[in-house]
Amino acid sequence: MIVFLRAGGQLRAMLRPDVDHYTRKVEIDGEKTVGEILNYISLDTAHVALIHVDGRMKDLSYRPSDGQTITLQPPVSGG
Amino acid sequence: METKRIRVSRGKCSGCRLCMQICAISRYHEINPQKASLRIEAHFPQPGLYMPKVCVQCGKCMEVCPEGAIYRRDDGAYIVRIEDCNNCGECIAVCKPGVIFQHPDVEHVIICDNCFKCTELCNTGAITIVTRPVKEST
Amino acid sequence: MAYGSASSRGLAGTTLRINLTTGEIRKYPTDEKLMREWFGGRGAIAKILYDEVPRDADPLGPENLFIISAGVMSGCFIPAGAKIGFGSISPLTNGHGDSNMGGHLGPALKFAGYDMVIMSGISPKPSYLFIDDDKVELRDASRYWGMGSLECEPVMKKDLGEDFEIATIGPAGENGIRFSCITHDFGRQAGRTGQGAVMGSKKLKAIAVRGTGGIKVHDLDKLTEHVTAIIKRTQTHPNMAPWQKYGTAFFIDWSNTNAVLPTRNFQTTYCEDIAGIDGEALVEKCLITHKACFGCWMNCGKYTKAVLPGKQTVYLEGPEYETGALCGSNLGMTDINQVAYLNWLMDNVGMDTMSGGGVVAFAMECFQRGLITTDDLEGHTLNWGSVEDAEHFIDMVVHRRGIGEYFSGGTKRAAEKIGRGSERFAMQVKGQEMSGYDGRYAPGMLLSYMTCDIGAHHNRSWTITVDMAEGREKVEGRAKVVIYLQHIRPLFDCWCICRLFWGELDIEPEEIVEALNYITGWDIDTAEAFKTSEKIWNLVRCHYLERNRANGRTFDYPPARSWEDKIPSGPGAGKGLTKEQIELMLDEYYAGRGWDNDGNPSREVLHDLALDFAADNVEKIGLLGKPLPNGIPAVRGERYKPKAF
Repeated sequence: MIVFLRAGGQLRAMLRPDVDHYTRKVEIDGEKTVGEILNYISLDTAHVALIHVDGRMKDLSYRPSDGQTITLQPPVSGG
Repeated sequence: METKRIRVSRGKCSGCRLCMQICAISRYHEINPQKASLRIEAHFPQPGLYMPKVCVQCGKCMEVCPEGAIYRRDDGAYIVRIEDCNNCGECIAVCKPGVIFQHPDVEHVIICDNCFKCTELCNTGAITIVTRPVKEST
Repeated sequence: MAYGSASSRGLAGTTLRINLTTGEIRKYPTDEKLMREWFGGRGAIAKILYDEVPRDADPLGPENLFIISAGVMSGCFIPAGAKIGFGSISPLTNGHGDSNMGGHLGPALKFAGYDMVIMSGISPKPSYLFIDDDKVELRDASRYWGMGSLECEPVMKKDLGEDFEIATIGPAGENGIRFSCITHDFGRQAGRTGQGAVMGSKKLKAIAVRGTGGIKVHDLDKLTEHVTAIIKRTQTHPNMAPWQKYGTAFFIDWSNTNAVLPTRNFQTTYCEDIAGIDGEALVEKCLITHKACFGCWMNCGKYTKAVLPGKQTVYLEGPEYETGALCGSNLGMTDINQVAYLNWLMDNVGMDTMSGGGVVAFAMECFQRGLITTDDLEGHTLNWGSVEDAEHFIDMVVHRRGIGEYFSGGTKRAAEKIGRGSERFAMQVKGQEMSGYDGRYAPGMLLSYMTCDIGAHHNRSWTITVDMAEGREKVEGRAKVVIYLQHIRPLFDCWCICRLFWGELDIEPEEIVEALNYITGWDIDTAEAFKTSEKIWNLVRCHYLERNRANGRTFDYPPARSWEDKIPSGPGAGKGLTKEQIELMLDEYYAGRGWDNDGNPSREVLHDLALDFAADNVEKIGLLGKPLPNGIPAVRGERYKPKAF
């Protein structure tokens, strides 16, 4: 199945977008958690502060469905 | 043929006032929210919400203007003929949403002219454009 | 209309000088050279404080100045161009203090025609500053004196008009609680450095401003084009939607997962009950509306209500990350309504929620360890996770009853009174309490706290992601990153725009400086901007030394918990720094700044920054840094470049 990962900032550089400026398409076998998907693309989860799907916060154990877009946000610089 | 006006979606405005800023900049080439033709009403501490106040195109300003200085344009906007406006303010008294303004630097009243720049910069969806087809007159 | 006469655009044009003792109000054209060379906001504040406040002036006495500075970019159709700076000698640190605040007051002051208000003396009776375009008055505030900030603002708006922007202090500021804040727009604060206490010492209850003028800029067309393009570009940025929904509160979870969340007075860095107090809990249980500052639609403000059994429902803005951490996990709270209630309480009495959370946490640990008892607390307990206990204790502090008097000066002074080893866990540097991140497993963050000019605050430098990328137990190489951040981040406090918008949406410093040039007509580049910021940094350091009369290094240490206590639990269990590592970081930092190993700026670096007058002053008191054997670095500070992945 296919999922889309979206991120800005330095996280975007690590993501290596290929669909548009912010988005990368990832093909995975079967259902995987967000944590497993990030591991699969070698993106260190410590750089991800927030995982956001359809307007709701998720965590690394979330299993996205086919075609879903997962937004990753890096940590803020504090405030 | 269709008319356009600003639609306010209740509960979405967060009070940033970018709309007021771009309105005055576009029209009067100045950073001065007091020259805008819309306002954001703040209701705090309770219930805790912002309410954009915009022209609803009711036409009462045109009806009362003693100089006939306001006319209705085809797209629904009420336009001030500034050469005819003597800034008497009669229109302000009848404007229910309170969105006709006077400013000491401006020699005529200020009424929204449907440029919709405010809606372009609004990022919360609080103000958007609504279009309505015009019925053929009989 | 009060347009002012500034030929530098972006300025409103007029500065006010007010002698609160005599009531004299003077208007004069804003000093454009000051604005150009010191960048308004924090920068102008630093220069004026340095030039005019006697070195032995009591921060709560008549010789301290209270300065309001709106900055050149505030109100100038620039996203997040909303801020205003307050400054004075801080009653917490006894050095330069400045605090920036969002909302709408900065633009209002500029629209009324004023860039700065400089106030001296002490008003003979409670007063408030009333500004209505050209009309500037000191008015009687006896009617409002004693009111909570959140209660006072609607009353003043009713009295004066809904279109007035109001900032107030609460009873904490009136009573000289050293970590008091200033509150505006029902929940924005100038929180840090005790600016509310300085206002209170001057018997100044509030500031009320209405401005109907405009602001002239150098090139409005280019500015509009540049800014509109940035607005449209950032509308679809992936960070925008989560920001708009959660503000900074989403970050609570991340800090916890990564073992930097202060828990029970920084005893540990992981909270088991996080789900009850994180960003999702805030949005689900408390949110009423998203609330923005002037010109910013990230709407990071969250207007909420707190509902607790047996308590009145209260309305507030928050809790944002810092309050969520320091009044949440740091106090052992488990329900977001508890955190929101304490946020409201502190906002209303007018105490900084960050220092407030730190003070209550310190007191709770003292109670835990039996250093204070129910006898000291008027028969009450002070247990972790108890809102009732915290509320009663805060009341004792605000009214300086009994042991509340000890804590009214912050954790450093409280620890000096309580003794018996409590200094070890008074989580402060230079007298100001730590922000909501524990530095034991993030050495750059600890160094940031140690070297921050206003005490243990993260606003100048935040390095946790760098620590994670480079190795959380490695201390080498952090200093140059901290130095760079200490130059770029305070620029936002000079220009009075919000760092969160400009820093979180991939906008480059060059784009900000471009906007600055369109506004002001100046022709500056980022190198000059950073150098001016470095100049301000060094002037503030010299000022600190001149007031506190000892080598800089003396003041740059964190509390002993930072190296004596390893993190006991959670993902950071067993981690912590050694004293040697802390010394090493300071050595590297000072060398990187062109200061000697005692932490004193050298003449060479001060000369490079056109601060020879400051070098002469510190030399007179024997605190000029010794010449460095290898000279000073050509450029101090280095932007962090993440490794290619």
